[in-house]
Amino acid sequence: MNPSVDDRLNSVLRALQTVVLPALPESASLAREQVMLAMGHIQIIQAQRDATPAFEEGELADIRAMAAAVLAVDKAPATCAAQRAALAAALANEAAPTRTASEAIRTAIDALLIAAREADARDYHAALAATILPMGRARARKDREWFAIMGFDIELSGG
Amino acid sequence: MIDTEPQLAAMLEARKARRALPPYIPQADADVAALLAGFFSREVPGSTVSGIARIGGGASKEQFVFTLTPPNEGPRRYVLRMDALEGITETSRAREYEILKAFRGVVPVPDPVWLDAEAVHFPTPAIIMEFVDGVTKPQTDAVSVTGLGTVLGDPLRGLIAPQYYENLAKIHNFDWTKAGLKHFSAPTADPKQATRWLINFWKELLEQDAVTREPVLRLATQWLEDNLPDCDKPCVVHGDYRTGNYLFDEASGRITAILDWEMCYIGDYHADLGWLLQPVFGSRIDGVFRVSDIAPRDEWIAAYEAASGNRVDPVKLHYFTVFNAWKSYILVSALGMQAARTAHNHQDVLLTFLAATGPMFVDDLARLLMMEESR
Repeated sequence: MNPSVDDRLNSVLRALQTVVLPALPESASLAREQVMLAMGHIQIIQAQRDATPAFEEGELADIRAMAAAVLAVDKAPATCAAQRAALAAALANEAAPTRTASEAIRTAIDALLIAAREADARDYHAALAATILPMGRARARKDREWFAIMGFDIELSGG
Repeated sequence: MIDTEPQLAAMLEARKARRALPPYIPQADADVAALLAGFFSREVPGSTVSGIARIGGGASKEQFVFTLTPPNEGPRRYVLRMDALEGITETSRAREYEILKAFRGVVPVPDPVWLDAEAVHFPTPAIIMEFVDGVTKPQTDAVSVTGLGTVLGDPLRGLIAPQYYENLAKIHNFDWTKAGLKHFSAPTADPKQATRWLINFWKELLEQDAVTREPVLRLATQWLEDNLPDCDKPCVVHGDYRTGNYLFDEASGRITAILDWEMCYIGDYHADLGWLLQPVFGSRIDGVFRVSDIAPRDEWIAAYEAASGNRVDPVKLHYFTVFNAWKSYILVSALGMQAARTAHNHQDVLLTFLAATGPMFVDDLARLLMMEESR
């Protein structure tokens, strides 16, 4: 039988916890802290592992939805045409790996926001902002929930 | 160079050259011992260095505590702080040394004793300061990362609170014009220069280090540039004032040292307030949120105004609330992640852990900017 990913990660955790950490003197504070953080990372990765592909696909779906909404904003000045075309091309590319595709769309939206501001197209820029902010916030809420397990979030981590 | 404080503009240019360097290897204890022995053979001939131990905590510098025994004198403990190649912050040891010297006798600070700003002796810029006794959190508190989520609890909260307000008031009311700060520039050319310099500095860091192009961050950058407030009273801004960044005596509750001055600059005091009022630096117990685990927000603001005599302008506080959520994202999701990806820090595993706070700041920025839109 092949060892599963969990079998292997559990063995790494056990080695860190029962062999490496006890072997470190109390004075080796950085090393001890790093081992504990490494153990924390592994435990969280284990907890998130099965859901990770769906999470990343959800990220891509959300940024694609934002891109489509941004492209639907009308009254774009002519000086933004190239950036809108680049965004449309990034949105149309369905062959790229999930994270690469997401980043390409984010980069294209970023370029459009810069162009809109440089064009001093205030109404258009305001309409872009009104489109992006609620969608960006909704995505950030999902990301917060995803990372709540790390314990920093006093609202969502149960602190 | 960009339009920011000249010393910082030069620092931003210099850091570009470090990006291509190979991975940073943490200093081995034996190497640090040799470095200290060599340094003090020149600085304090006849002295001995002993008891060298690495200090954990923090997210930017390599830190070691050691004992120096000069000839015919008793032993004294010191802390060595050395830069990694990159980290969650981009700061100057020369500025840190100078501001600590300036605040000796004003608020409790560790005495900075030696400086190697140009890495003449140490492999990277370094500062050596006196060791100060105290803790950053009660021994009963759970393990936290860089002091986030520290709970002082009773009775410490009541003992520490008056000192906490008083020290911040003294920092903001300090007369820096008479302090001879050679490594800082006064942003007094026009009322917006202080905050313009500040925004330009952090924007450049974001441009250099962004590992993703987050649309909400771009909108926040543009909003901050378009809404620069006047700074009526340029003052020393600590830059990271919060519970977790001061030492106190656990028995008496006496604050023994204000720490982490590395992000200090001359600017608008609202910037410190917007920083420490962030939820990530507070506590929530039984549904009650406390700023730095000191007091609920409105109570905190009233106490600060009473201690300092500085009026808190809600419009400026809102601006710097946006700024600090933006700055926090840049720290954890740009500088920290870039340092981890380039393996230019000794705590990559911590930096990638802290980066998980990034979505909290994106959420907050979107919420704050939507409030603006609805006005």
